[in-house]
Amino acid sequence: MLYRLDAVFLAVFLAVSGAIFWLAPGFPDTGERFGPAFLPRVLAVLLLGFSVALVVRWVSAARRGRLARAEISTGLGSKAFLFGLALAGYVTLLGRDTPLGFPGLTVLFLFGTGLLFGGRSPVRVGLMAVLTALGLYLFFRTWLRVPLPPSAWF
Amino acid sequence: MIDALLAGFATVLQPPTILFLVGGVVLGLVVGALPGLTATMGMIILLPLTFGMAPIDAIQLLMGVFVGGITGGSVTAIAINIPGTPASAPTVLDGYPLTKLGRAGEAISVMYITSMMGGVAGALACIAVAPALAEFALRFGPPEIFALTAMGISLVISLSSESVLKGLAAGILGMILSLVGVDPMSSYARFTFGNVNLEGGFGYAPVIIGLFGLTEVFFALERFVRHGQGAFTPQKIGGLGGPLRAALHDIRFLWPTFFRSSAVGIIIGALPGLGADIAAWLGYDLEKRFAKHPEEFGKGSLQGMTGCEVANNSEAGGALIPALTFGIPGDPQTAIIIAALMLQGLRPGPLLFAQHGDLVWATFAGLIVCQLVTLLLGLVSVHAIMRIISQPFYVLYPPIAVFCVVGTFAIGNSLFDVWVMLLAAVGGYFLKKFDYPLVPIVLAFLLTPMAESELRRGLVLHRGSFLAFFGRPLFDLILLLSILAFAMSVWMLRKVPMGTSRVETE
Repeated sequence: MLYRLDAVFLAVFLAVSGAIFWLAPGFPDTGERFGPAFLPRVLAVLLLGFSVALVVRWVSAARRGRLARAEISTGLGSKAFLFGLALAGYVTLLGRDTPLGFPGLTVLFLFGTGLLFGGRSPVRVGLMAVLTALGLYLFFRTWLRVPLPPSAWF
Repeated sequence: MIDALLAGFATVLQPPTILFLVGGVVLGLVVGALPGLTATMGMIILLPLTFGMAPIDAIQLLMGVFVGGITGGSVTAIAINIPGTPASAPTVLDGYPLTKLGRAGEAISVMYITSMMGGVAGALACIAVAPALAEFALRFGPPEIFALTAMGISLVISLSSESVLKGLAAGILGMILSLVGVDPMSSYARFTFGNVNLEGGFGYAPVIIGLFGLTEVFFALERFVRHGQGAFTPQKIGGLGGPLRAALHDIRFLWPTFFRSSAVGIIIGALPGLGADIAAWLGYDLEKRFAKHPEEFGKGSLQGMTGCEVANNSEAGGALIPALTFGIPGDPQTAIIIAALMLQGLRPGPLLFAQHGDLVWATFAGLIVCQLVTLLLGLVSVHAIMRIISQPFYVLYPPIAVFCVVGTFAIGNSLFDVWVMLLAAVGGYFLKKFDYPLVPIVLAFLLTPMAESELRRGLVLHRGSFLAFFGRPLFDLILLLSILAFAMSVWMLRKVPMGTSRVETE
């Protein structure tokens, strides 16, 4: 099935092909007949070919009014965006030296996303967040010795 | 062979290996039963943890999740009309009608027993074929290995999607992703833009965890928002004593189904790009053609349900044949097993049999033990599983997201890997949303480095002449088998209902 927003993917594929064609000549000559630039060029040609074929089909479908709409509702869009933002923020802060450390950041993340996933009782969601965060921290830091950032209080 | 297999059993049945196997099965049964969580996701979550384990323990843990997950998905298919995994989708057709007839316990018992039988059949096929094939593969040179990997990549990317062009584009994208990093032959850093983190390329585990694991959490959020569903509500299932006796009586008439469906599952498993869900549908379709009363299908036919259950479980053994022998995964789950072996510094292929034969035979033995343990644990844990799957989504999915983050970090203590995983998840969500299949991306990503290095090595050996490859009988044989495999796959796929996902994450 072809969608309206497939145009975005096609643009990305064409851009990737173009980027490879632009970068590949800069690869060194290693003396091989088929050196480090060989496979990238082959793949760029193939991706370009498939993209052109998809563009032709997309344009044909657009003219006949047969492009589908993807099912992404605005309600989902805002929740997915918030979830993605929360994940990105969580990972960013894990890499910084904060007093919350892994346990605190994880409790916050699980609490926020728990409410996002339909948790109605903040107390239950909070309890789930605390128990899960502490359990994961003990499991990874103590048993598996993964250097997770500690919190100032635990 | 018998001695090696018995030694394998002896290894698997000792602690801690047997404990990891049992733990994997338990997790697999739970994860498989939860709609939206799959055997693949269960394996993904555990993949980073296997890094610090002994190879045999890692493999048994992942296989336990694999086998338990495929079987566990059928419990919810029967009990609540929702397949826990795509491989259990056809089970719904006759499993849920049996529940509505008050025969849920009997259906679940037949499902567990026949799944075990199919799984053991697949394991025996793997044991019979794989060692001989590995012995034969020792004669392969770089051109033959290139031909095999190229066959694997081309089968997967051409058969994984209803839109062939989208499947091809996705596969090429996966191949391009694998090019980032140091070139295996010349050590030149390609597409790294001076970034030290990119010199090692994108790690297998972060990409797989992002595409197969975290992407599904996004889709779970979508299900919650779209359907307003905060939890699943399964029907009550009574005691299993009586139904189990009835099931043992039913199975006496299902032996022809068992043989036919086992063959389907093993063949499908050995062909890259198809997977357990295709095996399940083909097993169901085949039984409908052989049934004396096909009109009963869709209304509670044990023959129909058994056809898909035996096929989807025997597929596991079939998929391990190309995975262990050549390093070519037959489905996403064996791709994860290969990734786990590579995390351990082991490379699947004929040398694995030669240098780590004990590990290989323990894997074979473990596959059989997994089936038996799944049967036993599955029967006693049905009610507990029903309680778990009725937990609210907020208890299940956010912790899985955290597990994906921490698990990815644990592999190399690198936040860069976590960012790769996140980007893969976001990209995977949008790609899947617009019908670009994810499995070809992952399998092409896994296989392309080997294909490229063997191609270039072969060209060096033959002074740059690709035509010289065709003068090698083994290369020509593999080429012929590739064409036959492609034709057989296309023919088989014609029988799969439209709209069935191809090799999607299970």
